[in-house]
Amino acid sequence: METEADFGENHFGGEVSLRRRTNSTCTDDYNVQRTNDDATQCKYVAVQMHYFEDPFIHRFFFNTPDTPLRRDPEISIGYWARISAINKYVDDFLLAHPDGQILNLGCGFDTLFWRLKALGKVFSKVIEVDFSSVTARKIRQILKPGKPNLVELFSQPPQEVQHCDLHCGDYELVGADIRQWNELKEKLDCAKVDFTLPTMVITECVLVYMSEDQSASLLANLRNFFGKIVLINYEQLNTNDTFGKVMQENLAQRGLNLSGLAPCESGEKQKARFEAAGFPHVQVLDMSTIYKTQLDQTERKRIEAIEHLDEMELLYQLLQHYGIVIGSTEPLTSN
Amino acid sequence: MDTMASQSDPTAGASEVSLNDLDKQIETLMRCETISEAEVKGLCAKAKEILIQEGNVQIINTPVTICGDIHGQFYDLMELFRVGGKIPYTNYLFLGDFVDRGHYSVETFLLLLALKVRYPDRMMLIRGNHESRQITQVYGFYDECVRKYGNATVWKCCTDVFDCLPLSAVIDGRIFCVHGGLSPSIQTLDEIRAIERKQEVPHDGAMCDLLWSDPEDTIGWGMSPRGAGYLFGSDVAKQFCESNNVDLICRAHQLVMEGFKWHFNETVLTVWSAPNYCYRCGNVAAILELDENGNKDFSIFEAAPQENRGAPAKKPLPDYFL
Amino acid sequence: MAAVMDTNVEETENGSLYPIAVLIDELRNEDVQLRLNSIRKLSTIALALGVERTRNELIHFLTDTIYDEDEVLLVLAEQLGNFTPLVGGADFVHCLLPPLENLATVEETVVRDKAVESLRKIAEKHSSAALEEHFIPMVKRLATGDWFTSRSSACGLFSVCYPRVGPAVKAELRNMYRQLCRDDTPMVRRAAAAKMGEFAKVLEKDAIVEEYNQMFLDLVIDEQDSVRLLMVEACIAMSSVIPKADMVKHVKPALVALIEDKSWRVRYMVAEKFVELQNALGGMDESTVNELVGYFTNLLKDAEGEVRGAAAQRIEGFCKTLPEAFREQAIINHILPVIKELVSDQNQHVKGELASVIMGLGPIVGKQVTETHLLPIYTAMLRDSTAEVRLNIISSLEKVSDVIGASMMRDEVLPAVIELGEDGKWRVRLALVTLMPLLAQQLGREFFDEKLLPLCMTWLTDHVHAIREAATNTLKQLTQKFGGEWATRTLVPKAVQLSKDNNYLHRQTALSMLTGLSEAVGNDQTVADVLPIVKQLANDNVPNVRFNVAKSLVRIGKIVSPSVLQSEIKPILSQLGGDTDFDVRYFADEARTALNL
Repeated sequence: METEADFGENHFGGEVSLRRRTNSTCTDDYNVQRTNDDATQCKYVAVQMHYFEDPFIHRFFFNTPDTPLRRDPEISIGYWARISAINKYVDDFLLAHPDGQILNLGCGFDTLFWRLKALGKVFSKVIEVDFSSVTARKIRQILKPGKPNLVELFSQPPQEVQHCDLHCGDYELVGADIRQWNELKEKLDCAKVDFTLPTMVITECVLVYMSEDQSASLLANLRNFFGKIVLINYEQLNTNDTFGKVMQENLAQRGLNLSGLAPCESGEKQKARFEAAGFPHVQVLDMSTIYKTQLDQTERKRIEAIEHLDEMELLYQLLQHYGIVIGSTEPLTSN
Repeated sequence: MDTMASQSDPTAGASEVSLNDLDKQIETLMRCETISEAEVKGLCAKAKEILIQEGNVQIINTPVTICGDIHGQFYDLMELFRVGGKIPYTNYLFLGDFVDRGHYSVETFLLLLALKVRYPDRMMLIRGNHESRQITQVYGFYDECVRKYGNATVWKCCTDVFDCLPLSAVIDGRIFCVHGGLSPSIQTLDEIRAIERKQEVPHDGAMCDLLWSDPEDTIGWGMSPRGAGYLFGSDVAKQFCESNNVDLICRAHQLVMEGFKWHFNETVLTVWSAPNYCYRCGNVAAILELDENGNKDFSIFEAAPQENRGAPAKKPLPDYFL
Repeated sequence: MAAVMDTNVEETENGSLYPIAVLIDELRNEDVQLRLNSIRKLSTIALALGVERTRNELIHFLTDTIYDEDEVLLVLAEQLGNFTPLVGGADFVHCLLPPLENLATVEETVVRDKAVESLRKIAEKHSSAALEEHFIPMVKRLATGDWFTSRSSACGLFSVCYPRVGPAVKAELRNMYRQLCRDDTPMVRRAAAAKMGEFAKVLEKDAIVEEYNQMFLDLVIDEQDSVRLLMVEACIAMSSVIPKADMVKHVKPALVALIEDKSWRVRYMVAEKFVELQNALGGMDESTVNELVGYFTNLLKDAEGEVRGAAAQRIEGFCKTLPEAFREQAIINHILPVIKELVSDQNQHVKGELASVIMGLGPIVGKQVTETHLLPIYTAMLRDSTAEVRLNIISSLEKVSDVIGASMMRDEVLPAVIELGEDGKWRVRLALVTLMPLLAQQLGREFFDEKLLPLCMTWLTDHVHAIREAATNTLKQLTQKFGGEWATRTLVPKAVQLSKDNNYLHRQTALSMLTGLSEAVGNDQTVADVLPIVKQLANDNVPNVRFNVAKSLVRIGKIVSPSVLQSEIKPILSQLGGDTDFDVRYFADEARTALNL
């Protein structure tokens, strides 16, 4: 028992140096780009466990040998909820607008295009944008031989530019820093985006990494350049509590600075920023509500039984702290 | 705590572990470092010998400090010892769920086990629902063992130890301690004593219920949303206390944000000892200190500060949706 | 490639055999783990093959197998950096360039950086001729590659080869670097900015002034803040290599632009490096000092909390670096007013940073300024709502013990300190417990007895074990300071009381307190005050108390005279050696062995 009292020495010093270190690297977007790897891994695990189907995700997946392939059930369930919800909004949109296009900002290794094609959905184009270091890796994965063949689902043979853009007719993948509107706009033009077509923009865990000013100007620019737009924004919500504080600290340790967290504090704040950007119709739902009321409840029973999650509070706590904001130029049908 | 001459001396019995070796293993584990596979095997063999001699309802005397779920949060267990005192300075009863979810289930469980073997009279461990082969394969302990040892041998040794853990304890004849709660198939302590406990936790039945049930503000029995065990109401708790002449049912199993929670007019108590559960939940933890006159004293504590958790770069991080 | 690699079995020096075919199979295996394993033992394999076959077969093979997973490539990139002896030394080291060049172009940043690191390592192994013949052409290829990744990697190679090449190549390299600074891709400009400082250090002075400045200024006003913030470091590096006059003319305006940058991240970087920057500007004259103080206080008042925090962290360093002639005035007139505002900053981390350095200001400004200006800040922060702030102040209070007089300490600091004695956070209480000996030293025994001793006594029954334990240590130190008579009068009655407490944990605290006490007072008082209580505790009902008696006796036994050891301690240990409890017997035996009884 002799040294008990010595344990707690100098504790704030450690925290400060940690904070300093993470801040020094916060300018490096590398850590944000790395979030894609985590998301891909989570999706892969959930697919392996049959939470949902995605015959393409394994083409983008690489397992670091030292990382165990396991996620807690509430994480897999959370991904099921996120993907099911977004699928639903995409389906509704394409049903109403067969000529519509989908613009995925901060797409990472998302497989939406291939999933839509495999299901025979009709759309004019899927355009995906991410940092060029991410798109370069995605291009490598797309072009790498393997099954299923990702290239044969394109309407045109893939044409690679600068190693970070890929043009394939109905699929466009371009590298850009979406915080820089000029850069983004230029790339959208390269991808022959038709600003007059009805467009669904998807941002999943993207806005929260940019400053409020940057996301505000991105939203306003999107709203101004597209005639008909529905924007689906999935990210943190209701973060103004202990859970939110702990999350910020934990993510800071991954070198992730949530500089855009302020609007995530409440549904009202999310709504306000979309309205300020010129979206006439805005709806905010937390993932817990979506999970309990908007998704297929038979499926919900099935997936809850997969790993027998017994501590449902853990799931609900997570889901309550994420949400979907829909901003649209057209009136929203409320369910 | 009770002195059981047969098991007080860890060097006695068929499996040989010297006290010196044990002290070294404890020292290593206290630094959150693993011990060798061979050492684990020896430790587990000795632990099984000691544990199997304990009753399904282990008899314990005060003074003792009661702790709830730990879940592999090693550095928070160290914080618990800073607040409550180390073993053998302080006597402890841990109510199960040593493993899973946290990042250091291996070090946590082996440390608790080594302390049990080194100080069998100062340290009591009972079984939680996570001390199970099936559950540890979902919630991390299995993967952690394979990652840290390259194979599943250590996991297998540990799960064999799980089968030997007592199901419950009674302190001074007045406080019934169990991981989860009550069972419709159990009215008396003798019925618990009759359970053949040396097995994997079954999907239903008395043994399962003791490890899985929760109290609920209701009357009678209810279906548990957990898919195992039951919800039991205030009348059930009252009846059990009267039949068995106990004052209190002390249990863990459920996250409570304040660390402990009274139910049913102070006949049932939940103690939770994993602060900031899953490194994410933001709760505080509690331990219950019972002195030799049965006086109760709660100590509340928070998660260990960051630099007490070892090198940050190596620290695994909790999951979010990114 | 398999065609060139035959399946012969090679013999190594120690006689073990390694079939090449196995390696190739492993490197092609579907299982990433197997590939990783074989890459990790690449040097063993090369050793087995011998230098010639390593060059001709293995390196060729590796050059072509780079389409692997990033983790494998990372290990490969690292291994190749240490391969010089394995390919035959300096004469052949250039054969490592092709695989590393490939690795320097991959998408994954970590792999690329590792490849560059290895290339830098092997650059120095090249002879000057080999450098120009092989290394420089590779740098050129990378710098003009059509993939941004290759151009980024190139930036890190200039400084290692520039000093060793002829003037014509030098000019070419400078030209190329300038191109990289103007690259279309921000990532490349960022790499160029990051490496600018190290490149500047190897450049000729006139080259810097004539050519380098333009690219430098371009980057300082780059549209990307991630590029601009890297220039802070470059500016600092630059000022150490160019003449003072050029510095003021070229670097200073750039620095000023960065200090006032519109992006907080750039200002954050400035704040982080402010002391270095202060040294770089090096001005000792009054106008420079005023200018610097102005910039620094602006950072302390920045709109962004992260910037204020980083600047606050540097208050002590900044003040120390100020020339002595202007220091005190600058601090009193300009810095302190801003600090006073920071004390009530809304951002907890800013206050935490301030609290971690503010005590260090005391010795810099001396007694009078500390007492008039800093003391109110200290006492306010001791009462801050954030635990970290209180903890930081209390744990560095010793820094100002020499510059705050005893009466000030007593009247101003102490009331706030006493409040912390019952702080809700146990680590704050712990810091205070360990501070007691210092306060006792300063305040004297009488005052301590009156104001602080009661607090020390309450810690003995604190909820938290670590506090109780620390309190017994503190009391031991106080006994050493105030003497045995003091202990008999103040501590022994408390020990007697605790030894009869209902709670075994408190009786053990009494024991721990008495053990410390005996070490501070020696034989006679131990016999008179300590042993009677210990004897009583040796018969305690709770085994934990009894075996802790045995443990304590090891320490007490070393204090008392041999006769007391035999007459008093030995019987207690004999009695405990026959206890019913195993642990009591064990620790009694241990104690007897330790004391040779």
